[in-house]
Amino acid sequence: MPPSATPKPVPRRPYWQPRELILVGAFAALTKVAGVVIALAGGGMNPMSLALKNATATILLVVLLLKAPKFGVLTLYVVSQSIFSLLLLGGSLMLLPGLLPAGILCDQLIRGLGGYQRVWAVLVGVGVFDLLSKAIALGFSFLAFREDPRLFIMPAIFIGLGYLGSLLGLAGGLKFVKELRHAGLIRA
Amino acid sequence: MPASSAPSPVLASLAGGREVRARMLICLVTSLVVVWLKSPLALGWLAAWATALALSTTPLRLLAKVYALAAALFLLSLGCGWLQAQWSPALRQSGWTVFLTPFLRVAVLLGLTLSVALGARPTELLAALKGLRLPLFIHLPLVVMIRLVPSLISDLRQIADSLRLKGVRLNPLSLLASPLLTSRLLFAPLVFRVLRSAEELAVAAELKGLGQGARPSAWRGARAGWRDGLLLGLALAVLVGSFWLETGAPAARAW
Amino acid sequence: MIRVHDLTYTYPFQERPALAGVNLTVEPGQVALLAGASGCGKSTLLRAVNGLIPHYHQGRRRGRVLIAGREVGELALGDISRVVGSLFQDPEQQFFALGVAEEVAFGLECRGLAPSLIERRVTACLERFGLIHLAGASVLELSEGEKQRLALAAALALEPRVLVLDEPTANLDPEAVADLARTLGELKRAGLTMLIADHRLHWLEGLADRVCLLRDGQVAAQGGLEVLADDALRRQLGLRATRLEDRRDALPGLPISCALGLEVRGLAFAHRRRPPLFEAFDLVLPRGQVMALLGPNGSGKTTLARLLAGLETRRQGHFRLDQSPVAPNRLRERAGLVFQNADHHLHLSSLERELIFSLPRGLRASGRGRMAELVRRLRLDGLEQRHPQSLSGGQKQRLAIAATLMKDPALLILDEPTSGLDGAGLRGLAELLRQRAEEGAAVLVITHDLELIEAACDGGLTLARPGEAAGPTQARRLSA
Repeated sequence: MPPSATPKPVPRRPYWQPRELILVGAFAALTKVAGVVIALAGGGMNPMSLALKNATATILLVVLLLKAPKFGVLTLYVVSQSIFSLLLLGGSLMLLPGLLPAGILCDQLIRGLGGYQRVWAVLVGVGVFDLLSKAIALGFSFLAFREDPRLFIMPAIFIGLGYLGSLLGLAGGLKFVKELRHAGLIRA
Repeated sequence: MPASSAPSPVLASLAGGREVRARMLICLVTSLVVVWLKSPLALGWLAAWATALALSTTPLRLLAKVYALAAALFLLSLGCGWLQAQWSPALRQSGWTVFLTPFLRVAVLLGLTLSVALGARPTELLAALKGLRLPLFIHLPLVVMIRLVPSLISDLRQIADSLRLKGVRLNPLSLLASPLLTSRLLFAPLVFRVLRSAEELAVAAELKGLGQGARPSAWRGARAGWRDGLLLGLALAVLVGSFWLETGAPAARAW
Repeated sequence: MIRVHDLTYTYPFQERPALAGVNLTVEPGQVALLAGASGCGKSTLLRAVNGLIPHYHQGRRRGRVLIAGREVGELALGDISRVVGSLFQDPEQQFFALGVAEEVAFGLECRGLAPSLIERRVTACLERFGLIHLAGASVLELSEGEKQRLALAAALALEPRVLVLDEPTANLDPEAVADLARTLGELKRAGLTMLIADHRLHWLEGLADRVCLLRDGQVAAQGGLEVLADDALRRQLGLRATRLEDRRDALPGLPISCALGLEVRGLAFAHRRRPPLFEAFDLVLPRGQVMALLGPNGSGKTTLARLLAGLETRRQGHFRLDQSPVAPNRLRERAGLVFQNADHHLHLSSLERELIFSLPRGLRASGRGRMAELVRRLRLDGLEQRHPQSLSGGQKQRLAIAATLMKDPALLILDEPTSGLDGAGLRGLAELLRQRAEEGAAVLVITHDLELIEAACDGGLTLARPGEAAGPTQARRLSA
């Protein structure tokens, strides 16, 4: 390396570091794989697998926010998941316009409650996000079933069961975070 | 390092894929259109197209199973709807087409899902993503997702083997009997693996200069070929046809 | 080229420094070896040289590290990595792409190089490292040696002047190690400076110019290769042997029958939609002996281990344990299999829970005595309430072995148990395997490690890849 006559200006580091982006992608991958495995191991779409799938997704989201404690990480996670579903799994674009502001709102909420280093702030933020995302999913289902609202009852039940699972996931998340602290993997 | 040599013919064959980008675009547009359409004829037309796309990448048996599952869920919904109608006559609907429309919407989305999800190897998916030139904060998580899914599945197999050797059964009954314990046994090791994998990938990324300021270039991103054009042309024709069936066709008006 | 001056470094949240007052000089074109017991600070020193410390791992750092005269702490990581390339123990964990050519290109893309330049460099690197015929292959399908070559090609595509290698031979068989040594020799002749941390020492003869031995973060000895000739010092520092004899061909084969042990007759197995891996295959694993299972990648060693442990049920053939027929589910109860990656065995939140859970449900209440005995034998005392993920790599591996031994398996199978183990660890493992055999178990170890074969194995079986001719010592795949 030839010594330079004048010091090179240090380039401005981008807001998102590769480490954070990689963590988001890794947890998004794990959430997808876990969902499929639970559905297969549980014998399909039954109330238990639905609740468990959502509980697992919530726990993983809580862990992610504590490992990558930065404003916007929840939104980024949601956007990554949605684009992955959209581009690669034939998912619908209709959910993204709702999920994006929900993510931003919950990121703001976490920041307002003390930041990503505080476990309770993260739990509240994730809890509110789960509620909003289920509401958005209900809205989309209503659109899809609008010709015969009677049929809407099934997706409503599924989404309701999923939300119960998410609530369980918040409790599970709190417990798992304590374990990760015990293992030295989280310092929050 | 030796002097540069002529590009290898092997490398020249790396580009391309199974029209992955075209399929992605078709998924994107169709998922919007399908919510707007109401006519069973138009939706049936789209469902036939989605099924044909799916059949180009998915074994018939798997496709049949997926559609059968969707149909079973719909019949369940119908049953619930009928029960509601017994409760409240106001909820009675006439005409079986009101049932068909939502089912066809789901069938279209399922067919598209299978055609993309099973239609490309992970390397092709990565090449397609690279070709989209998305900003790093979108591109990198997607790349990592695609990269890690095969490793996670392999890890999960070994974790499941370890549990079987410890006498733990992994089946719907055991999940029902002890859902929390079974999930914990399966997924806790995976979380730890993911944390380690993410750390090692992050180190590799930093050492390779990712996120250091230079704008990444894209070598061998998927390039659109004549097959992409053909597929998009066909998709456009199908969509135009579905609009016509929705709005203009005499048969559509009869519905 | 590399100058480390009085370097002291402590990781975040740790009290004890990982490195203390380390001094090291590596001249341009030299190859220096870092050796020492696990946890002595080798990897930390490599991180200080390639810039991960202080740019990625924060913590407290004192002293200086100069690369080509420039202080690492004053440069951006991107600038350091233009000069210093890195190669790690498990290259697959660091691959970003899924394709071989794409992986070589990745680092060049990150630098923003023009596609035409990337194309030229990728082709040149793949040709140089003998990977051009695998350009379109998936990285997940490569052998360990091919993965290591790919990682080397990817690192050198960026044309660094220094290369740091962290245990590059950990997962390699002897042929791949020799191949790597040859390649690094060529790179050394081309003027590349290298800093290599490894437990295996034998392959560095003729390659390494300097040796730096570390103990507890400090330099215990430094000099030319003659430093390693001191047997007492090597033992004291828990190092491996410097000279090895390849006994693989001289290993006695498996017996034809046994009174006590596992007998397999007429085994036939194929993975779904693939040609048969085993056909009319016979195998005898007697109790009281340690057998090695050898063979190249793709020869079916891991699959055979899974079949013997009862994990694969879609197979044909007759299995008998101690002269009695045994079904796969019963075999799972009597067999223990230790995977290469200990993390796959660890499911719970403390050592104690992990070990008790490894027992069959009906025996868990009374398992504490057995647990205490294994904890003592495997040097895990005092760690019972620790979370398994907070343990070191060696401790985790011992925990995985202890968990497998809790149910006192009649058949104990281990898959590459010495990857990343230092000399003391290897000797401890060899002793444990011999003890298990003496206690009456049949032990089978899948390994490339010549030192483990020397220290522990009574005999061996070498599998050939399907379609390749089996030699006299290799397993017969077809009936006569």
